[in-house]
This record gives sequence, structure tokens and C-alpha cells, in this order.
Amino acid sequence: MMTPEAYEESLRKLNLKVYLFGEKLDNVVDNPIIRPSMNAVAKTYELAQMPEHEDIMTATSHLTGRKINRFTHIHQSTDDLVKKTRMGRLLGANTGCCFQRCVGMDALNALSMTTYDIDARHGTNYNERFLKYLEYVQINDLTCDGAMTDPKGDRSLPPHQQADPDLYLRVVEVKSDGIVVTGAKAHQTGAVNSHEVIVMPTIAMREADKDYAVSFALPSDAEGITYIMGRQSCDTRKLEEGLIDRGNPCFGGHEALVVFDNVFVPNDRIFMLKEYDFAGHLVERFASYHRQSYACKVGVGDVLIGASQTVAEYNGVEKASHIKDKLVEMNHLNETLFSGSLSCAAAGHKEPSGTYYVNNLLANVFKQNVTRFPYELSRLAQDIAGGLMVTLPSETDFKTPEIGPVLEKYYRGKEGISTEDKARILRLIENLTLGTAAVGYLTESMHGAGSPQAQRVMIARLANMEEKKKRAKALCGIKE
Amino acid sequence: MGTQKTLRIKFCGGCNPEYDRVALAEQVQAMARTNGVTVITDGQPNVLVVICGCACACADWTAFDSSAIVMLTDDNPEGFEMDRLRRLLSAGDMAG
Repeated sequence: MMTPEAYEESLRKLNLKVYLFGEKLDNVVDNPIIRPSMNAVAKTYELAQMPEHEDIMTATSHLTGRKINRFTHIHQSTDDLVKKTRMGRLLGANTGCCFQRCVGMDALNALSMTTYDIDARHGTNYNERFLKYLEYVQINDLTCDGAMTDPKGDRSLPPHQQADPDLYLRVVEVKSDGIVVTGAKAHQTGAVNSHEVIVMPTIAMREADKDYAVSFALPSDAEGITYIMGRQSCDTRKLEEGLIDRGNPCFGGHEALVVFDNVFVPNDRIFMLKEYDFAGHLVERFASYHRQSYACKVGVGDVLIGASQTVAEYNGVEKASHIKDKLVEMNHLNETLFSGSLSCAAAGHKEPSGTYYVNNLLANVFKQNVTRFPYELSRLAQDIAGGLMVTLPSETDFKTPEIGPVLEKYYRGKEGISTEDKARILRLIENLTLGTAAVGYLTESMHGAGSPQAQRVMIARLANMEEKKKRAKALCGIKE
Repeated sequence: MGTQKTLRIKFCGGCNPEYDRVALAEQVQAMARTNGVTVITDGQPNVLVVICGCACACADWTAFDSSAIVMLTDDNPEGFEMDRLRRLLSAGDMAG
């Protein structure tokens, strides 16, 4: 397995074409806007090296028998699925942000099933190709971007009817040794911290869309791939002097638009090519795994709850009954989320490929709660923190001789607590609920792994309504 | 001369621990050394101490066939399992 230092070094060797604020970056790893997100991914390597976390962070490869990072593992039991949930909470709590590596793990697991199932129906050999690729990922302990979301243009139209055919990523040429693809994938979390990009279709498709039914993997610096960084609320605080106003100075996430301009994909890296009848199959499997992955928000919730308790103590209000009740409510919401992720893991099952798959209904129910609870947790945190969270002057003001002592005098909290520590905890709550980390904790909770309505569609489809009706009718004496 | 007695520590993953597992491990290691027991990090020990952050005790210790397995799920020094560990470490015979 790679050490965090080796991971950083491996990123320096990549030749990524990355744009941020209109400029092409010469050095991605040390860019102050991007660096915290790299630190968060590095944590997935660091914790895997630590005896006190290896039971969750590592697994035994079913291909080689070697000890591997769990992020490259194919789930071999419900215990593996439960450990994935626990790993998400652990890393969320250790970084206070999105650590970006789950999406690749979910893509690998979904493809381990879908390639097997395509082969069974179409007589192809995608699964053999995939397993060779998986072994390469496991041995080299790579971080993979799982790229599913197309820009989608007019949502009412299928891919082949879009005004611009590139609004869904598509095959533009089939050659004897591979294919050429063009298009883009939006909102790609951790894209520029990844060694590999694994592309999947974004919706179920019909025959007319078969050129869009494509899945493959490429090195992230393959010729023709460009990354355009998304910006985040308060992102330029990372360019300011001082660390306090950043809230979480070490860790963060990032998203990027990944553009594929006539990119060549060799045959051994193709896992689906025009088998449109399996596009929806792959989307559903990836989505369910990825919905389970939102256990990470429980870990971030742990940080937010800890920050809320701390600021209550700093303000001397921790014994007020309504504060205690709000903290109980926050814990109730957070542990309810944890229960959801654990339950879809524990109720998982073995697929024909041998891979264990989460309970699809429970994964969707869990993610539906994730679209709501972090917002309520944030509201409660802001309630407890008070208005100073958004009216506090800058760190520079505190360090200015003329006004710094004035701020120290008027913004102090409980005796024995430094004003600086009070500012630090307020900035962390601001970061999580309004700042850069709110991208991951709130809006990503809303739309990541599918927007709320996507889960409601799945819940409607998967709920066993006939059985429920049968039981109701039997109890009240209705005979059919 | 008898064979040197050995102890090994195995952690759960620590997703939401209720106490400082690493601090407890340090205490256990110190207790072992005080009793002349060697702490090892590889191979099969005489005593495996499994340190779990909470009562669900999810650590996977199936790879171990130690003669004694002590499962610690809290850092209570007066706890039953901690007491058992003390007796095991002070006894000549390490069988559980």
C-alpha cells in the first residue's frame, strides 16, 4: 500500500491539464486552493498505515490475497459493506470534509457486477478485462475518480436528441484497437487528486442512444482530458494570510468539470461499449453503492456536533436546557443517518459475480435522509453558535495593533477561554455550514449520488406494495 | 529456561470510539513489559488483546488462534476483562 508521502509524490508525476480562475496550473499539488483536498485524500492512505485503523481501512484482495486499501476492495461479504460504512464515518470525522476516494471504490464495485452480467448476456469478455484492471489498481493502490454525471443539457430529451451531441459523453469512433470518445463529466469530486478516471453512463438508455452507452477507465492525465475547477463559497480565504478564517485549514474537497476531447481509449480499458441494455443496470448499482457512501456525512456531523458543544461551553451556555436538547437532537439525527448506512450494508446480498451489493431500498432511504438531516444539523449548529459566526471580523483585524485589543476585549467568552480559540471554533462551524466544506456537507448531500427525487423514484419502485396491501386486507377481512 | 511469553494488540477500526484506544494500548503494553511479557506486532501471540472502541466489538480477530483472547471494549481499569488480563499476565501459564 502507498504511504501518504508516496501518494503526494505520485500526483506530482501526473501531467494534468487543470484550469483554475482562468489560468492553466503548472503545479496542481501545491496550489493553495486545491492542496487541502489532496490532504484529505492523503488521509485515506495515512489511516490505512495505522494499526488502530487498519481493521477498517484495509482488506484482503480476493484476487491476490494481498493486504490492500479498502478503497480498492471488492466487497466479499456484508461485513465488508459494514466496514465501508464505518470507514466513511471515520474519515469524515478525521477530515471534516469529503475525502473523495469513495466514488472510485463504488465505480469499481459496480463494474465488478455489471461487466459480469453483460458477459453473461452478450458473450463479451468485459469482466476478465475489468479484473485485470482491478488488480492493477489494487497493487498500485490508486485513487480513481468515478465519473458518471454528464452535463445533460435539456433534461427532457434523451442523449441522441440533444442540440449538442456532446452533452452526454459518447463514442465518436470505433477503431480496431480501441475507441475515441468526446463529451464531459460534471461535478467530479476529487478529479485532480486521482490517478485514474473511470467513466460510466449517467442514465438508462435505449438503442438510439447506444453510442452513449460506454464505460472505460483511463489514466487521469490521458491526452485530451482537461479539468476545469469548480469554485466554492469562501474559497479565496485560502489565499489570505493566516489560517483561522479558513475554519478547517488542512482539509477540504473539490469538484471539477472533466472534458474529454477526442480521447482514445484502448480496448483493454473498455468495460461497456454500446450495450445500452446495461446502462441503467450500471447506473443503479453505482448509485446504490454511492448512496451508502454518504456515511461520510455522519463523520462530518460528528465534527459539527463537537464544534457546537465546544462553542456552547466557550459561551458558558452548555448547561442551558434548550442547548442540551438541541445537541441531543443533533446526535439523534446523526446517529439515525449512521443507522441507515449500516442497515443497507448489513442487509446486503451476494450477486452472481460474487460481489456483495447493498440493500437497494435501504440505501435509497438512507440517502433520502442525507438530503435533509445535514441541513437541520447545520441549522441547529448555527442556532447554538450565535450570530458571531457570521459577524466576526477577520483574523487580520485581530492582529492589527489599533483594533486587535478592542476585538479581544469585546469578543471574549467564558473566563479561561482565549478569544482566538473562540474564533477558531466559530470559523469551523462557518466553514461546515456556509463555507468551502458546505459544498460537501450540504449541497453534495442534496445532489451527490443523485438528487432527492432520484431516491424517491427508487423507493416507489422498490417498496413491496403488493405485500403491504395483502397484509392490510388480511387483517380487516377483505377476501380476493 | 521457558519460552518467552508474548502479547499482541489488535485494534478495531475506530470509527466512533468511546475512549482513547491508543492510550489503552500503551497501558496494556506497559503492563505486559512489567510482567516480563514480550509485545509483538507480527505472528501468533500467547495472548491477543483486542481493543475495540465500543461494545459492538467489530474487530476481526479470526486470523488468530491464540491460547488467550482478551476483548477490551472500554478503558475501565476495574473491568472484568482488564482484570482477567492482569491475571493472565501475572500467571506463569498464559492459557486463557
